[in-house]
Amino acid sequence: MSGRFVPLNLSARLQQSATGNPAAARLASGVANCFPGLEFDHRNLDRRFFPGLVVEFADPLVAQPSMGGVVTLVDLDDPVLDDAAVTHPELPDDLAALAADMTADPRAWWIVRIVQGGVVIDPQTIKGLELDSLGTWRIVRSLEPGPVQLVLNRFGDDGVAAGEVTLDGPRRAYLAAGDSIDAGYAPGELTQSLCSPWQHDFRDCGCYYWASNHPDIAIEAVQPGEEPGVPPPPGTGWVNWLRARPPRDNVPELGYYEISERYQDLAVVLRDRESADPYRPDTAEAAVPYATTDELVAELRDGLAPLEHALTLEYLYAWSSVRSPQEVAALSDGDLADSLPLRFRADPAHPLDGVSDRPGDITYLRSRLRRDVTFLREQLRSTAISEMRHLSWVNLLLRKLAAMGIGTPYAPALGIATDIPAGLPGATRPAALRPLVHATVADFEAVERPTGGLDGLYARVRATLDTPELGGELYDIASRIVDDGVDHYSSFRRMAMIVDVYDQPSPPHLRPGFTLAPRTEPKVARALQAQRGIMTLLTLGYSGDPSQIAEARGLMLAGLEGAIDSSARQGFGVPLF
Amino acid sequence: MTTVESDRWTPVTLGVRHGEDPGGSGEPPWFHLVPGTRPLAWLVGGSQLFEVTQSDFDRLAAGDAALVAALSDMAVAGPTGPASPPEPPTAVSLALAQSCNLSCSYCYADSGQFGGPARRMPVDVARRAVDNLVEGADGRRVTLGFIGGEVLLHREALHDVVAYAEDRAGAAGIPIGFSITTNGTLVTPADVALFRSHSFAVTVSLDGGAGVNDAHRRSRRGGGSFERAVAGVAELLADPGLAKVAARSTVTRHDLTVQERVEALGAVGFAEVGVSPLRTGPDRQARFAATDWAPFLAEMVRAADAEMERIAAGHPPRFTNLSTGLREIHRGSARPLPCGSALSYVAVGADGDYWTCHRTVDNPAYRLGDLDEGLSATARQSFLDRRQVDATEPCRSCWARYLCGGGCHAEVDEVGREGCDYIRGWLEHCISLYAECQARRPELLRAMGVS
Repeated sequence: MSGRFVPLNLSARLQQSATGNPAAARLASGVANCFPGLEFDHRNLDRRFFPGLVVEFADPLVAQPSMGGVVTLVDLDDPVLDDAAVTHPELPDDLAALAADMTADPRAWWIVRIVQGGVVIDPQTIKGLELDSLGTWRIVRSLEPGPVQLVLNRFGDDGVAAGEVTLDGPRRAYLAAGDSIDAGYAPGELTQSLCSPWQHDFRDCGCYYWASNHPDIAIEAVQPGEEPGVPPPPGTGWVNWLRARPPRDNVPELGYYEISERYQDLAVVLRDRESADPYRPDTAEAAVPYATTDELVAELRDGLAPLEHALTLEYLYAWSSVRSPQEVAALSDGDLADSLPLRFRADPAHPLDGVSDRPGDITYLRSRLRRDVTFLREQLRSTAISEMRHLSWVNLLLRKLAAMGIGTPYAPALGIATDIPAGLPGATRPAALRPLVHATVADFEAVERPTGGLDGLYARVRATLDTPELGGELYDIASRIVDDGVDHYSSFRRMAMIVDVYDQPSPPHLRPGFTLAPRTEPKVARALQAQRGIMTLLTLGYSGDPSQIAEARGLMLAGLEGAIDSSARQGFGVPLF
Repeated sequence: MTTVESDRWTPVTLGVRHGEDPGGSGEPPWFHLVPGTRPLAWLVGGSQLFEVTQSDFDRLAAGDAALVAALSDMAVAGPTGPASPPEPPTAVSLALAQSCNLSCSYCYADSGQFGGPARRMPVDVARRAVDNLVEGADGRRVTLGFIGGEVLLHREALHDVVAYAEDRAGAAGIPIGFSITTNGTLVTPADVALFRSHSFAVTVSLDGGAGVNDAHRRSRRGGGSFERAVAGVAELLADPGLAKVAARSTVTRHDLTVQERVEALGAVGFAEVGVSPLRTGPDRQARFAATDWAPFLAEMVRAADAEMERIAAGHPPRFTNLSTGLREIHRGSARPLPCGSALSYVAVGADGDYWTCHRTVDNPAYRLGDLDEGLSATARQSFLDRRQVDATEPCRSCWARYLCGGGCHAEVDEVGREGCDYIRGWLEHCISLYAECQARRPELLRAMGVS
């Protein structure tokens, strides 16, 4: 619900939960462990303990014992320098000299001594003290507010010290007035590191712990057919986000050490999908509203309603082309083995590719095919139902707009489109009733693809409805259709994975001999009669009698579905348009 | 209902009160709807600003239970009061000179003397005030302010105390800042050097151009003060060094214009100009009356619009009432008190007594102790407890309570809270402006340092 309130100022934005992030994704809702811990790296606070300096707690590459703080930046724009200069007037000049020196000489400056309140922390004088990275950080943590003296030095490759520099200044207070974090910290500076992809331990994180930066699975950026001329990558659909790249046998994921070196290969994931390119707002966000509400109404009535109707029927027809699980169960072992793709047969040329036709393997293949057809039929059926729902929502939009005096008086929009968007902008294909083969699924994917045809059109509808006068409920309806489209697309992509496995003449997932029947074929008469009845009921229902819609729904489930399936089982595809 | 039309920005509608008492429960309002071309919901507790659709705005205004509940999911609790006992203050102002060379008709301090004889603060008193400030700082940044009277009548003490405070803060390792309020007429080159080198926040009391200023700000002999003040601060304005110099204009009911004051003082060379309406003081004819607030709001809105146009044209921001308002809205500032008075800030009078602020010096009702006995935690606590907005009406029932904080204690105690509609109207205008800028012109906010 929070998405409808757009946060504007900082305190409002703090309360916002980003889409996809769990409730615990904000720093304030953490369980407050810090380095050495998981949620917050306290060293990020301490790296600016001295005004104008950024110190990293690191161990030197050259063998220098007792050092662990290296100056990585002199920040002359540090806002606390003005205050520091009041009590330490020489500090800005000293820092400017250090900055100039660092520009001229690449050798790093290391902290070699820290003095506060007369206490000299010096490895030469304190036995057993190791000023390595952790030791130095602990010393810095223990500094009190007040004057502190830092002695820096740098070293040649031979380890010989080149000469000390002494800086006097106040330890940073960390908090500014009002207990806010000191303005010297850049946005993101305090939350960097730890539980980040470049951390060794990141591999062990699961998405339910750090969902915001560690998805378990994602949809690959480039999908089959999305990029002309590029062959589909092996294994499409949901993939392991941490998968080894390039793919290697028996190595499913990046290893502990690999992740530190190859974190940049991990893709940013937006809306479940990996990004191959820099982020661009999608169609839904960048959509251009229709110029007028009349144009909106015309598009809904003459464009989207017929399109939803045509897709419903295309999906239903494809559904009826797929064997039912019972039909797969009833196949003889011989028929099953003959109908399976080559890759599933014992093939000396591809010994690792498939399995043999031994009885045990036939059992496996049968169960696999049953599982696959069950999935295909369920997905097609539910997607068709979803499109029917969209058809009714488009009619609802039209009726409500007409009630507001917009566009023409309402009449049920139940036409069937003859042209279907084909993915590329402006491209279309003829509406067609086809069995569920590779090309069919590819076309279904294309029309449902985010930023493809259908969702782009609804995004424009939604953008047009995003006004105080029209918004609210109508906007919500359009948004729901846009969101459904993403689900449809994912669903078809998973179907494509299965259909591709069986891609051959006479694919085993399809009903043998399934062909589009002429409208005069007696075997399809019952289905066509049910379809005509449904159209009559919907016309009445959309015109204002809700009970007729319930009747229509009953006839779809009890009459049409069974009639179509029964005809199809005998090889007769029902000519739904 | 009063509607103030702004030429170029969102109109402000006064008198619309949504969420004041949802459901008639008697609970303080927790959200407020700001109508306009960009309908807004302000959540009172955390000063959170959300844009809503017009239909949601209407539903919230009608008390739609589901939507109100959804909005409440975003709400956070209001600010808590100060710690008990309050921490030592981090800011102290010293009334180095309780006297003045001017005799402004409206001066709350009665020509700097606060109703008593003219006095100067002995240097050792000032130094002890610094000692107490630094000792209580506990590593926090401290601010030492100088407010009179006219501080520069006691220049030697000023220079001495600044050097002393700097040494003390330096030895303790705490950052220190300085501020001064002056009428500008007595500034010497040595003062300029002090302000420049010590990052002074210098506030010059000037009301506008010569005519506007000299109507009230006059010398004891009766002459105007504008020319002398401008001459006095010219060198500092030309080269402020590390100092930040601002003009503060007091608006009287004789002349409610704002934009012209800002322009006149900008022309003098001030990079920052702020205005305050005159509510109290000895000149009853000049004080705001109930009928002045609505036209004054219109003047403030006009000045804000002109300022936005100026910034859009590439000029630096100047009108601090606007930039401060926008900054507080951006941050989501929420506080139960109007200022740091008696909490983070106290004043020390010439005799070494502590007062709740520079305006209440020598008023026994506001005494908080003295340098010998120290600050009374009890006196501070009871002062603060009584004045928190959640403890007093009409503040408790006002949606703007955590932005406003309840108004200047000294003024409220003297004349009550007559200008609340003005404050709400001004805040609504700033909120609308902020939302409009966030959506369409974020660069204007950045130019004002609101980011």
